[in-house]
Amino acid sequence: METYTQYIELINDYLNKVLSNEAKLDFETKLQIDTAFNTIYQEHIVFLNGLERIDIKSDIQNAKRSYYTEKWLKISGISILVIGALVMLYTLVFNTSEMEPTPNSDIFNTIIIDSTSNKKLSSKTFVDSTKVNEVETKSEHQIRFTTTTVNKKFGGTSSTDLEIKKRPQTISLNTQKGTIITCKEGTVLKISKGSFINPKTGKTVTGKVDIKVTEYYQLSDILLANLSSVSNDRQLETGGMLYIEAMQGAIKLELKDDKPIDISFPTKNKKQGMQLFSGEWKDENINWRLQNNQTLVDLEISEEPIDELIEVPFSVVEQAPIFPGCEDETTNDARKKCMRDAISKFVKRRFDTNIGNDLGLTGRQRINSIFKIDTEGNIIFIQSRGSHPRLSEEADQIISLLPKMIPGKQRGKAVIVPYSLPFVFDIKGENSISAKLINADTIAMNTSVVFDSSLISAREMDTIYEEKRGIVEYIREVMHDKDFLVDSQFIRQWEQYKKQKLIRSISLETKPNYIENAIVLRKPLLEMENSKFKILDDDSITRGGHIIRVPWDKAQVPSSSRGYKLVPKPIFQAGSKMVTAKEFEARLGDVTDTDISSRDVGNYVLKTSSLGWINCDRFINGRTTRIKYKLKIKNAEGAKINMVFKSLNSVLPSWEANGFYDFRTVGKNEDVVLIAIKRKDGKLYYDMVETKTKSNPQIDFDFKEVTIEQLKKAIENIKS
Amino acid sequence: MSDQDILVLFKKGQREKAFKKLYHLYPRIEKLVLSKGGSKDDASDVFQEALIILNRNIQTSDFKLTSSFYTYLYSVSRFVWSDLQKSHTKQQLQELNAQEVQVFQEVIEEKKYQLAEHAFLEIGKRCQQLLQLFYHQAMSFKDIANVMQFKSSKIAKNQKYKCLQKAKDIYQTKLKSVQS
Repeated sequence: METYTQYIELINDYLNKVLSNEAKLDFETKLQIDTAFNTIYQEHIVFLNGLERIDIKSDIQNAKRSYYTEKWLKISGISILVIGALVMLYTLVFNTSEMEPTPNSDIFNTIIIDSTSNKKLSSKTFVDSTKVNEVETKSEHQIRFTTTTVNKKFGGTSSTDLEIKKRPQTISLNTQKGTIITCKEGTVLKISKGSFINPKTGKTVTGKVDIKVTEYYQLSDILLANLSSVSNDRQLETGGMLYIEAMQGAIKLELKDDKPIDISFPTKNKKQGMQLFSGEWKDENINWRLQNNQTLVDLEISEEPIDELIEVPFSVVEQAPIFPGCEDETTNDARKKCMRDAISKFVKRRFDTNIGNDLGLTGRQRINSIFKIDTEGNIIFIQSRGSHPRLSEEADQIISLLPKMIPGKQRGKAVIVPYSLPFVFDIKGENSISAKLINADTIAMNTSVVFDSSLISAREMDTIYEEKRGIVEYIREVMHDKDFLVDSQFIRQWEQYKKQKLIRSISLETKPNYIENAIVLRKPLLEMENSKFKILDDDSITRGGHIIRVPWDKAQVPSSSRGYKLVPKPIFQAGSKMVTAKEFEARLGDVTDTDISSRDVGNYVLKTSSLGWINCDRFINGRTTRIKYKLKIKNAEGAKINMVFKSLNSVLPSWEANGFYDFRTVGKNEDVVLIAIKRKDGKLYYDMVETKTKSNPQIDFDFKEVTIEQLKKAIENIKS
Repeated sequence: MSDQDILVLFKKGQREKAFKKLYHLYPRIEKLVLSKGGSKDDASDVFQEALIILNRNIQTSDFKLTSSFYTYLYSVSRFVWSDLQKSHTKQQLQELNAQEVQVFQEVIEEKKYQLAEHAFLEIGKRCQQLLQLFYHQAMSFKDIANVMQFKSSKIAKNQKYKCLQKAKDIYQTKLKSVQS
């Protein structure tokens, strides 16, 4: 062993060339003579070479790796260059089209719901709507020549047989004064001064304004406008329908939120319980929705000046509204900041971020809310738009819980202060959601943007005022208490009870063949500590001690928030194509045009506006047994069939499918007239059948050719 | 980059760079191995072996590049591959020219080193580290003792011989099993 180590040491020295010449010679001779030493030497050389392999190998591996990396880099580098070149080329070629990013596109995406579909539509129909405007301005000129405010008949030039659209009356008025208008058929409108706003600027309109009113009292007018009297499948008795529109030049105006027009409908025999409804077109038929906060009064016509209510945006108001708790702040800015912080804290604490998760939403969610603080410090006009209706509802809900504030003041006078509250939060799979409120000042500008209908004007929009009804209203209906305090905690409990089946909705046959929705409240709810559920007078109690309760009618619970929304305006439809009024008229007389169907003719009259459809109606409820009414018509060929009641001012629409005309449910044994209108080969046909409503009706129509005038007359004769 | 430039890289000791350049020849060698029924992994191994042999040749001071690197690597690879397949016939060997004989011998020689390498890889991590530090990095026993936390350089030295002995023993047994 000792000699071996010595040898190795010697060999190392030899290989490292550190031996003296003498020793080197000795070493080489020893190699020749000593075979054992030689073997050890050879063996050591082999070992060293083997050892070296490891070193070389690692170098080779490194080289290989860097070779491949380089190769890969080259390939990707080249492809990036190629892509870059292509992009350059593309931008050069299509430079012009890229040059015009609309400055509003950002707002478009964040604020307007369904922005994509609107955009699409807008590009298609833009030309059409301008044409419509032209037509309208023409008729305006005609109006100015006739000096009376009430126009008996229009133009006269185009009173062809196919003139079925009822012409509106146009009244010019000065917005500086309150005005009372009596229309041709007796409708009285009372418009207070400064009622109109320009939707583009959000400012009150001054100067002359043209009001267009179309009245639908005559059955023929109603039928030919394809109007009917149904609210969410419930039959209404109408006291007259109106269509009102306000224009200044070519700009369509909107009503100020706090300045409703008072409307008086003429009537010969007054009926109880008339209410105002707003119309909304849905599947070819109009649906009337009850307007809340609208009590219909016989107008006390007086012309006393009404105090002007001014709106001053939060960012500029001289004395900002004061949030409870912020009174101690001395400067206006500090109060504003205090209020902003308080509101964001308030919302953050209450906003149920789990909703997002429950809805399966992920990523960044944005809700834009706007509300106003009125001259009494109340929160009014809450309006939210979010990525999901449920989010908007939740936002509305929370904002409505904001406490009463001290109103803002401008020049010492209490003013309405709009406040914009956008909130953004992220939903990251788990429950970690961070709600972030953006400084309201930076967004305050947006307030006007929301109302800016120019963004969507390409596709004409209608503003429909509507009450917003959500779970809050529903709970109040069930609790039979229109002021019942509903907070988010209670809503959560409510949902919980529903899951536990402690609250269940059922259908109840209160009268024979009359189905009503009812709610079962189970016994444990009543036995809970501090229970908010109590047994009411008109509850039915089961043997098990549970309560069966019929919720209040919607009309009895005013909704806590009211908003308006923009809905695309119906454009005349010829088959599947949207056309302008003018084009439609032209095509109506064209025998070869097969695109226009009877349904289109019925629809043709419609021209909605920013003021929308207004109807003075009352619900017809439980008068008689309800039955299902469905007709099978062989020779209908796409006719439009309506049911007119002899005893009531009511029109029921039908929904056609495969030759079956479904009127859904109607009262039994009512004297009705079924009116069918059909258009074929450019001609109008009609027939009407008097009948009593009964189950499984058998009715055939014998279509006769008529002109519009004849048709109108025939319809009017039904009533007399 | 010409073959001469690559050679200069080798002489300058920039072995890794030179290998990287030579890797440009790999796709063609790979094709050769694949055409003879080898897999991609085989091709990679064969080429690596050829590079090792080339490197060894260049290190001997009298190396002269008689043909291109490609020709050289190609013939080495061919031998390495046929050696792996143990498919040389006597006839083939007789037909070799002088240069080819030299290459063939180099390949055979390299196989011994391969065995030594395998033996080395079997002696355990600590021994491997110790021997590498001594032979590759030319560290003194004192430094090795420091790095590897031996109590003294003497112990490190002793340890080194033990490891060396162990590796050589394994090599011998391997050599015997191959030869038999």
